[in-house]
Amino acid sequence: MKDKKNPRRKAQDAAPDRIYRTEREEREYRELKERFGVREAIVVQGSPEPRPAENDMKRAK
Amino acid sequence: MTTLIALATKHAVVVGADSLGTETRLMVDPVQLVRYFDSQNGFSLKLDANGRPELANFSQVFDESERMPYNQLLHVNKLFKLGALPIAVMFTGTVSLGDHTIRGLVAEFVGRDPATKGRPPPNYTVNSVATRLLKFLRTYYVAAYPQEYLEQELELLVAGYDRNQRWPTVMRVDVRRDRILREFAPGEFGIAFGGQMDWIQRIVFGTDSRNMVSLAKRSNELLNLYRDRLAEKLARDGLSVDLPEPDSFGDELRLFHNWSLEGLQSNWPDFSEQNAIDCVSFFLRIMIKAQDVSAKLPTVGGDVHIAVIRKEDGYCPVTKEVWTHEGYEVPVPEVGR
Repeated sequence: MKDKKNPRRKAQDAAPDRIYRTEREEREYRELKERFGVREAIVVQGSPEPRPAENDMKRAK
Repeated sequence: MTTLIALATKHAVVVGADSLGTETRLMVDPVQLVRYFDSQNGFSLKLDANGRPELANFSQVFDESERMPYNQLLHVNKLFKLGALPIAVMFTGTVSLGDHTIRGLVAEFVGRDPATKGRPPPNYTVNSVATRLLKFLRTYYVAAYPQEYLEQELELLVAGYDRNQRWPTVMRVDVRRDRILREFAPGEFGIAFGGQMDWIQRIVFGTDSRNMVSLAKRSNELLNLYRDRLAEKLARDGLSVDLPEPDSFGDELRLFHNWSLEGLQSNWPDFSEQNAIDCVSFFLRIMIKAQDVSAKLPTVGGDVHIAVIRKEDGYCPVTKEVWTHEGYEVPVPEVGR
């Protein structure tokens, strides 16, 4: 059922719902992604060498 | 579109991609433009207060366009090894530049570049090879898209090992914007995505990057609203203060600065090769299956290609890389081994 009091609903009725993004939306998204520093990777700092405790355990064995 | 994944561990870097190639075109739904026309006056162009048409230039039409799937190709190989180097390259975006496929261009680069043609040289880095590959592809990209508004996305993930490093490096190469970003330097581990990755990101990050941008934007709007309300209150109380804008504090008031949602907790650095293969396969299948049930046309799909790259023995495909016809199979010469 349509909510006639909702202006947004009315605007949606005027044009069919879009499932793809417009070029303007895509451009705004890219600009904001850069501005807010949103990354597309999870980066974990590794410990390149075994920690001292691990060396001690190996020696104990 | 496509899904690309590079998972860097202490033992290997595992890369994977789907194989559905999608050609997109910019389309405009005429109904989206109806607001520029006067339905009470025979749908002639609406005029502004100065008598000028509200639809004044091409960029307004362009901004309303949507990039929609137009044609699809199956069996597009988006994952390649770079000669004899322990480095792989994957791409997402356009499958060709002018008369050249991206695969053909990568093969041409491999045949020309001093680090990839013949035996590996005494020194090379993933960064230096990726930078030269970007420069090589840019030549063709600029020729293929003389008009900026026709440009298509073309992004690469380049993953592998420097000659003198025991830990992997992963670079993100944005050909359209002529930019290169180091995702993982040697000693950093984790998982990086390219192309379409919303469903994967919801599991790994707790939400996808579009939602992260929406949340960050909303949080910024609320901070600004609070600033306005506070200034009004102070003014009513007889205090005239110019409160600083949230952006003036740099990253400090950014929603995702040193903070993240609860996502998938994994010990990425210590994954074995098999853990990493299973993980990359899992994520690729999530994207493919999620698109099967979404309202949009699938743009990730087809066979999945996965390879393991190790410092000591280079590029090793773990999916069957063959040409096949009626049950007869031969290994793809440049990929299989």
